[in-house]
Amino acid sequence: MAQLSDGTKIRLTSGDEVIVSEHIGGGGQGDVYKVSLNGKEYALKWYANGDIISSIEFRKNLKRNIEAGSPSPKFLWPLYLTEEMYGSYGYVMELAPAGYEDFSKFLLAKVRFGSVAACVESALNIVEAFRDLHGEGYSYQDINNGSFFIDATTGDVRICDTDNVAPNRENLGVAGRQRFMAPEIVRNISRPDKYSDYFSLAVILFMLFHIWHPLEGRRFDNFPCMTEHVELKLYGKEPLFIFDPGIDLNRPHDTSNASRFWKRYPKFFRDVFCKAFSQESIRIDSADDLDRISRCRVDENIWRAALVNLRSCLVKCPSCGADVFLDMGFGTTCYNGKCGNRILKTLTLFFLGGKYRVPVYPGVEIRKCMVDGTSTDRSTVVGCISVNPQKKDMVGLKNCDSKPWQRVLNDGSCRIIEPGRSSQILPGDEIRFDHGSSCKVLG
Amino acid sequence: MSEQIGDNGWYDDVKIDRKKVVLFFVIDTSGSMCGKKIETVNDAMRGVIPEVKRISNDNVDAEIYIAVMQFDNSAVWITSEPQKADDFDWSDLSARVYGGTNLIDACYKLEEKLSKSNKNGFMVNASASSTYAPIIILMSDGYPNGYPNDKSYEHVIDDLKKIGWFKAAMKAAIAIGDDAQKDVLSYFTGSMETVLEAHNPEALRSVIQFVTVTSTQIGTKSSDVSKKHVDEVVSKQGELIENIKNKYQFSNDADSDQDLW
Ligand SMILES: Nc1ncnc2c1ncn2[C@@H]1O[C@H](COP(=O)(O)OP(=O)(O)OP(=O)(O)O)[C@@H](O)[C@H]1O
Ligand SMILES: [Zn+2]
Repeated sequence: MAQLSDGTKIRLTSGDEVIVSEHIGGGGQGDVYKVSLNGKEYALKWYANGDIISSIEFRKNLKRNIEAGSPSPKFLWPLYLTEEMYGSYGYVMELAPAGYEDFSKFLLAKVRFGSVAACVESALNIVEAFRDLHGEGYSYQDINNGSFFIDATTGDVRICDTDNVAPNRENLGVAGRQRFMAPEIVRNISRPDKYSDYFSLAVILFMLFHIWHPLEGRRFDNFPCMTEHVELKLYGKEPLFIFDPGIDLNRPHDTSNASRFWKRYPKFFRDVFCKAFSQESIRIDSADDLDRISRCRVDENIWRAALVNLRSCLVKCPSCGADVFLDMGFGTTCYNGKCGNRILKTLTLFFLGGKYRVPVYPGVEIRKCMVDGTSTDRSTVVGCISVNPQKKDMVGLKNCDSKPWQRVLNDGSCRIIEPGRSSQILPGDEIRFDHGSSCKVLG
Repeated sequence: MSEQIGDNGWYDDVKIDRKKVVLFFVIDTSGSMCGKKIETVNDAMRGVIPEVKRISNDNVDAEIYIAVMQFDNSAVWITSEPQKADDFDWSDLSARVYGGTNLIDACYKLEEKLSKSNKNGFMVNASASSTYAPIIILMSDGYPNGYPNDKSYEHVIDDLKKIGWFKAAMKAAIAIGDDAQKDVLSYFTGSMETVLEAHNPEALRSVIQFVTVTSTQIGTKSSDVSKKHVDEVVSKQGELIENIKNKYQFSNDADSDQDLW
């Protein structure tokens, strides 16, 4: 299939016409071009793969997705379908905004996040976008490192390649690459669905935080060469998480990025990866195991809470200024080799029965979703951990909300924390908010 | 302490650990390659190397290394060891006037470098953590010395096929001109489908570019998931054949009878 040359006009089913202005790149399924439509620039995906071009189902699904509209503004969702021309067809979507870089470039260290906070923010954005997608009853089916554009400064994301998105459990023939697909897909025991998306999502998150693949450890050294059969074994038949707490046969080398980053994250966060890649959620030998893995996989709600908590743990080392994640419930050592400063264990706030956890450390912010069990607002700041200006070693909780909070002490007595005021907090205290939501102070 | 901007060294010393893929070019420089043929090969190689570099640079999974051998009366490695695509520049090969086609020596020398037991081999210390299977592209316009009576090249290729690296490799061959023996080349690659014909300079240029780009694209990524049977693998060699069929489904019969050199 020849490439479309600049200036080629392509008719849309809406009757409009786009003009090709530049070839952006090509992948397995086709090519992407910059096009203009009524004076505005868009991206056109133009298929080159015969199976897709001839598939009535594929085109029908695209049309249905266009009509339904995007589940989240984070997707570069199909907007218009083209007519069939020059032996093929395609669809028009928004261009990735300028400055948003392909995730592959982060993995190649050609681009790095402007801050660790931006990395956490990008993970939250990715997780929320997939939550919205799955919430609409779709599955994405082919999550891989080429699916994301990320703003390295803000952590905002755009997700492309949405043309394989289909109603959960309906499959249009994509199968993806072994390295990113869930073991049940690699082994072809089932077809991509929401649960296999959960697996791929965890792989992407692991790679985002470690610049390393979660299954690629020492065991790979035992095979003379990576072949299709070795891939089937290591990603399909016998997948083993490199940091599996119970089986240490696949640890990465000490100098790997995985080893370098892993220990910088708090235990509660590492534990989520351990669960996502536990044998229970990745080992599959027959279709009988599908039910188990669907129960054991980590979904977006778990990731979302874990990432919000991770963000709460991000502070500056008081000694060297490096970004440090406080290991809630433990002391933390600054990862900076030249510093090695030890930050003592702090008190922890347990919001909503422990869904959200915040270290009692100066400057850490309390968000709306933590004090209101009905809210998903993770941005609005409703409080923070403050220092008593008279007594520098006394930390407390500041109410930045519009309503008073109630502090219930160990002995059952009550104090009101008015908006704008701070109160000392002690282990055993309970803070009560509106709607029956509350938080416990634990030692 | 002033507010610090940036990642504060979080990403310092990040290592980019990509797998290595060696792309072998084994090129016939016998007497019959003199003139237009070898010129076209050189020209096409100069054209395709930048594309290989780009594929290597943008690839998250693997990095490409290039090894080149030429063979006429005997075979010689042009690269003493595989070179990073990024550092590699094509040096023009010249064909040897009256030179023979010593395919047997080419196979010996390939076997030597692919053999795991050879300390000076190209694949020592390789493992699944560090290496994808190699890609081997053979180009020839003739037949081995002694062909068709002397079939000793078959024994040598049989030996080569016992080497794990050769077995695992993605293999393709380009038959240049009308005298090229496709049965010999397919004995080497393992199938007729992976032997591409080029009967004129234009076709040769395009075939070299197509085979090199397609095989490196396939060879440098994690393999596709099967859509047919449980625990079936989609072989990369099979994917290459699929791509060749797609591209040449309407075979170049227009020029297949005439040798335009
Ligand atoms: N909406 C878009 N705006 C800007 N660039 C895009 C957009 N969509 C895709 N691209 C870029 O175009 C190139 C080709 O995209 P495409 O999705 O076809 O390739 P791929 O991801 O390599 O292939 P595959 O479909 O096999 O996963 C990639 O570099 C991709 O980053
Ligand atoms: Zn420090």
